[in-house]
Amino acid sequence: MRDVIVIGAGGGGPVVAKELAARGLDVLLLEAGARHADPEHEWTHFTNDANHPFTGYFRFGPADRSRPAWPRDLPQNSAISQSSGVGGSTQHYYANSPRAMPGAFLDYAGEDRDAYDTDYLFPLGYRDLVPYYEWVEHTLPVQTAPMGTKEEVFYRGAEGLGLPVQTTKDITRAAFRPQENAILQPSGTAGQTNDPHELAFPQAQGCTFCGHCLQGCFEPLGAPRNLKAKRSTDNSYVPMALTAHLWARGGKAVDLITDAFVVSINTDGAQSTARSVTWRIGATGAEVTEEAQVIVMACGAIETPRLWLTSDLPNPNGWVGCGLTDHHFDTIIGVMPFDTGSSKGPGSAARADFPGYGMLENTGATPAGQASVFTFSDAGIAGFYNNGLSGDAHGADSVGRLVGAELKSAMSDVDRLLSIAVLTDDDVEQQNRVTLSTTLPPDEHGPISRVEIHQRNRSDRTKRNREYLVEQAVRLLRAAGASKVYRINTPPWLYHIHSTMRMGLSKNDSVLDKNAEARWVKRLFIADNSALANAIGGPNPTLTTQALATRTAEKIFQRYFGGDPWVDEEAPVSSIDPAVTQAVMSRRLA
Amino acid sequence: MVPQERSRKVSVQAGRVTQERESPEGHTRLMTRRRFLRHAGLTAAAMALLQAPQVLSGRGWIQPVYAAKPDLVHDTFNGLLAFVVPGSDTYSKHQGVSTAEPGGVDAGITDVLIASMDQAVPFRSNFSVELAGILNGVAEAVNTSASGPFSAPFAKLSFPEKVKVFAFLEGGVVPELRPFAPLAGVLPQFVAFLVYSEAGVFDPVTRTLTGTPLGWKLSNYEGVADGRDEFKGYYQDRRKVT
Repeated sequence: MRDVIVIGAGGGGPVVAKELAARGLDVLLLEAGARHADPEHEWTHFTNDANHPFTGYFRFGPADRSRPAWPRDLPQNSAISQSSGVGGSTQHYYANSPRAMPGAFLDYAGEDRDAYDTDYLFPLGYRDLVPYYEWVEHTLPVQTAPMGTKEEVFYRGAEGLGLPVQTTKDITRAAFRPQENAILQPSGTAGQTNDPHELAFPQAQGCTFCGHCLQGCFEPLGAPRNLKAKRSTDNSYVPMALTAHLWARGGKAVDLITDAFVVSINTDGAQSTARSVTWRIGATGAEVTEEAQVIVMACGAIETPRLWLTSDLPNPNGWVGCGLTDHHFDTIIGVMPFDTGSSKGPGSAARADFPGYGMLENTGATPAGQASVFTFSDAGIAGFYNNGLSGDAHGADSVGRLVGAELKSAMSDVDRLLSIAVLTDDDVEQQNRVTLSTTLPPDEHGPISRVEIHQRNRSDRTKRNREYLVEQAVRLLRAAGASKVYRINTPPWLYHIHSTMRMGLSKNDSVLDKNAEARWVKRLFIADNSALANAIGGPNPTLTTQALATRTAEKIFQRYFGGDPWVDEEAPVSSIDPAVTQAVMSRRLA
Repeated sequence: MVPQERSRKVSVQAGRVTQERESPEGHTRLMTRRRFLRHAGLTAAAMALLQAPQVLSGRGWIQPVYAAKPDLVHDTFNGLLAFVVPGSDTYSKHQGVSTAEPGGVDAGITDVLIASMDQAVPFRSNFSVELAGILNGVAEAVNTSASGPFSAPFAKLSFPEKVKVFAFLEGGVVPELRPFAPLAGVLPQFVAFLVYSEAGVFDPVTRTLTGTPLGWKLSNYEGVADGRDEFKGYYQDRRKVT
């Protein structure tokens, strides 16, 4: 019997695995997708190769790339940007690692405390989470992002709005700032040259400004896996987990099994205690079952509720899968009469926070990514029809997707664009949810997920917040010098997916207690975005999920293994610590 | 070039599509369930398969699995490529919106697009044929008398008429077509993604490019790189916050 089985090697699972392995527990980490053990040879910088939704190496699908992707049932105009494989969606994320808005937590007493999702606050205080933030920020590490041209343009616009600059990690007011990113700052030749012959490690260290965060980070070339610039978990927590016996006193290396899709969590007869996990080996179709003292679900905010439901675990209050928040995403794009370097550098290195409303961040992309943004709308084709949406342009020149000559004109120079992502502080609503599809046939793992989002029927606060942020984004782009501004009115595009298995104060509207343990199944914890209580006020969720996962690891260790908490007592080891590098190199992790 | 209305007038208001001389109940004539299904060849279950690109999962690359009516399927998707990213090709010229430089039709991705659709739904075959059926079925309803040197009704439409096909599908005016609204939402995005990607010159065996992608030229993109001289320092010289 294992001490702990963690299901899912994405943004949250490896955090729990590494922390408990460092305590000496016997941890098995299961991943449904590919290992991606050698990204310098397995990946490319091509958008089509990486991000094609059906065939790209970052598709949500099996380890064997020749096999079809795994389907989801989406009954509305929408898309999901999730990846399987070690690292999960952090493989393609932009590594933005802001802390949550304090107003999303129980202990917030600011004058604007009523401006947040007060019905669904975190069942713990923001101050309770800060030590865990600090632990993760040191481990990844999280650093202040440098500037490229697109950041200079964004800051010029933010200055034009009269916003102040935020100079603390905590969000305290409406302000703009460089992102706090899980990307190593550039040094040596990184960011200084286009010459590939001068960009190999150690001559180049940290971010090389290649502009390919979305295609996965394997820069600088030749760097040990734990010294790749972007701190996706495949470059940070997983290498630490696999070498815990080498850098942690008393540590035990995690066992990682990929191509292992978990098809059921098995409980005792009374369904009160989780006992074992059964997974299907993709290559053979064979099923394997292992027992563990504790099981941690970290399959992502769509697959975790699916696995819960296919395992026939209890759901007495009907909240399993419900309360999905996605930041009610929108995109505003400015065309500038000057170079923006939009396709270069970290995907997003500048932001503006608006507590109580959400946030804005600049986003760069390759041409295919940028064209995808221009053409994905809930408001029809700009200038022709709007699908009945009455959304305000807020000073933008058009609303809706671009096609035809207008698209071609807008796309005529990708490096004269500045895109701003609108990340709304959206409300938890039971109607937005993950269930099991009864419309589409099951795949080899059982009934598939149906993701239902009622885009036109969101809460008044959610709608108000989004419109406010759109207005700010348009003003920012105009202040930065945009000659033309497009509001896309993006449909649900699920990059940030949270709160589908939410922790909460009330047993009537939550699945997890304040320790992230399932209310109705003991020894079963959740450590991915689904565990978040709400949309955390709008900021990118990964850091908060990782801080919470660290806290969850402590709770597991205390409750079921008689251990002591460590975050307040010890100093964390960074994933770029020389001891970790030595361990990674000795294990020949590419 | 300026988009031109070439045939029977169709108005689009708030997502509703109507044709002149049609009564409100003329939607029944415009697109009956029976007629639609004849064109599309779909079952109710198949309709639900079309609800998002993620549902349309696939594998591999170009495989000539579209056994039925390849010319029609090609024509349909070329008409779609010209609609989303017009160029100097005959499809673009025919729709009344063209440009001096090449567009989607010349990006070399028609077969990739078709193959992606065919491989998109693992438990169905020839999905591209069904998708072409949808577009052509609605195209015939939008303009029953469209003409042109193509076999596909959709490719024969003017640009504004192609807009109306999407408005019709997205608007959900006819109950039987409502399941296709999500498809109409995501299809232009997927087409644009391929046009501006490397798909037309990507060798899946060597995973290298055989030439410069048209999408890179159209967007003035410098191309992929291991690094760039783009580092501009730190805002207000602040490298760290606490």
